[in-house]
Amino acid sequence: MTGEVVVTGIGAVTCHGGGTDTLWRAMTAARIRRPDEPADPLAVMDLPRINLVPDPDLRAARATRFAVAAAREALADAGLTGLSEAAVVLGSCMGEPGPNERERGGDRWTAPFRLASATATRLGLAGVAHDVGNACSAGGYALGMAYDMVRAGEADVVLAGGSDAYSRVALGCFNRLGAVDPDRCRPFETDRSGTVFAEGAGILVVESAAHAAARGATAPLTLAGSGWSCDAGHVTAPHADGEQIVRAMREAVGPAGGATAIGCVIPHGTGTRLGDEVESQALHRVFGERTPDVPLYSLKALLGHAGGASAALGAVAGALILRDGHVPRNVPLREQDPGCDVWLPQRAPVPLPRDRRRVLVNAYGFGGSNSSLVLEGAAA
Amino acid sequence: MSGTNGTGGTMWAVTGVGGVAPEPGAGDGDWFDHRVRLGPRGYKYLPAAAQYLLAAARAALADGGRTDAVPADRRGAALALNGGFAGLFDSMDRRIALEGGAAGLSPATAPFFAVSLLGSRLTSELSLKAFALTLASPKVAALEAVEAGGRALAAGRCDTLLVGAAEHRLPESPSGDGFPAGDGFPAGEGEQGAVALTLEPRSAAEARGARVRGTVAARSLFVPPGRELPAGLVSGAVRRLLSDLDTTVEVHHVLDGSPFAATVAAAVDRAAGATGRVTPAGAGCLAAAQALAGSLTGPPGTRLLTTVTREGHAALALVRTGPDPYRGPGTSHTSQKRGTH
Repeated sequence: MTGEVVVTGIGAVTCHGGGTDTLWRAMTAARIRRPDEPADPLAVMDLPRINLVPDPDLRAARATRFAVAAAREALADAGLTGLSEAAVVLGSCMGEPGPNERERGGDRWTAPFRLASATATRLGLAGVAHDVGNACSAGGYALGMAYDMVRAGEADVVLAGGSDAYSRVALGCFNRLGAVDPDRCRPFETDRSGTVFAEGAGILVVESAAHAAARGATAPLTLAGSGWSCDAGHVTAPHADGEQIVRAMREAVGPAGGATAIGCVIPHGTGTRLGDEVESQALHRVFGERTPDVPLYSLKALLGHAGGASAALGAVAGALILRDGHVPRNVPLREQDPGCDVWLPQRAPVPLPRDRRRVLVNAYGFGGSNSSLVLEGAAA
Repeated sequence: MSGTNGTGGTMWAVTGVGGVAPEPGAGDGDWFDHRVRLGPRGYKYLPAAAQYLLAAARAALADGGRTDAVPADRRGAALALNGGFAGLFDSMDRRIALEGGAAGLSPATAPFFAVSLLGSRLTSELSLKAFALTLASPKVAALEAVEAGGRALAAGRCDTLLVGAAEHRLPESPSGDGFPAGDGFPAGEGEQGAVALTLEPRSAAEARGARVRGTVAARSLFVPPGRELPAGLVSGAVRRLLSDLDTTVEVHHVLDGSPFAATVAAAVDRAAGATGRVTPAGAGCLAAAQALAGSLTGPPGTRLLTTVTREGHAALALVRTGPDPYRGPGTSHTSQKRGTH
């Protein structure tokens, strides 16, 4: 397993709309977005708050719709329109939950994890199709699988990422767990009190470098590393020592020196009290005395928590940062938690130094399912 | 332009096989008592599929599997389910929508809206810290778990791997109004039980004197429904699994009754030079997992297991039990390829 793995195309659907241009405009505007309330009369819960994709049809196969749209954009971005063979690996927390929830359009129980096959079918792609169900780190695991497949020589082109859509069951369970912030998704703020779910999809074209070069793809990004780990502990809470999330990050950044080349971190940072603190402390262990100089881009403050799509959207955002060469300022914090001693640029974009054109993306899920990945920009 | 260009794969040693399933005719509620199977306390609020998986994993360890032969950071898990949590989800949806709202949900079961928690207790009890990967593609997820987990082993993400698949019966009435269960299975039915396997490199198993049940490798394919099977796709996959020394191959197809499944099975038969026996797929991924476990615990031989679905998924697993034709001084454990040696 030695082949270089590149990213030649990206696509996104978020609560700000479709397309990576839309996402980048939202990132650079850094405006606060209030959560939506789904038009679902059966969502009987205290805080039916979620950042919805602007698509009013809650009875549609939304997660599939988002994945297909993001995949089409990614293929076009890669210059791979007309492709008939590729692997598709998609992560999701809930799959396509709507048809199995009351009054949402289904007429029989269907296996919810059909996003990969549905996307491959809509795009006419033969090859392999895998659905990964690793909760809120699913997109990171899917990208890690794509990384392994290309390095093993099993695939030249993999459409990989994640997609999640509104689920009454998931939102109800998060309400019951007291994990929904009544205001909005506010990672790293002092008085944060949970997260806010979001819909969305992020898809990347992951390709062997040799294949990309042979077809003339220029200045691709490199998927430089992938790390997985499992806390093997509590069902919902991260292990307080952060040992396994540190290990995943270290595996992704690579051996000695790997961390020094990281110019930006897109943290998991969901707004839960313990999660943000543990990740902040883990970043100190990975980056040591450099930590205050490593800018974090807190994507969930802008998008909310897109579940199994969040890591993939993080990777898309990382790719946009690498293409632009700047880390955008974050959505403004009212007051940063002193227990989360990390740098969240507030006032202005931060340029990526030429020797630090690497972005680390973290994603963690229930059950202590951790993933990290590193994207590297082409030489400036 | 090629999307997949597999170059073969390592055959992994299986040192433990375990499973739980109801006896024919057993009632839904009485075939599995978690207090007897797992312990008197601490398992009541685990979803049934997670209970089954834990019991199957313990059986695999009792059969000789040793996940603890390596440090916790080197123990991985690749797990599979389709409808394993469907009944739980339906009951939670009913409570939220019709019976007073989300406040009435049990806080003990609320976290299990995430299907990856199928393995949460398992990874905790066995300290499987390398990773816990959850595959969920319809019906092929168990063989995908062998494939993806094996790939992770080969990539160095772990040194031992627990592969598991679990399912539980489908909800009685997901919509609350006579809503039928899907995929041709009556409401309230579906699969129940779990299978677990412990995998590791054969050299590692032999170095510690473990009994090897057999070796296994898996590959998967996808063809969009309605599209003609690409020439060479199935035969290529079979060729990458089988070798010239696999002169006699027993083929077993687990099929969902779709025309696509029949087409792929026929292509597998042609490529393998055999006529496979066919058994029906279940509502989820358990039938293929059980067939795989059966192949590993059967008499010596080479077996090719196929499962194919109407959604366009196909997965193949090669199992060798008994003497490995490639075992000998200086030989590798990598399956050599038909037509290339």
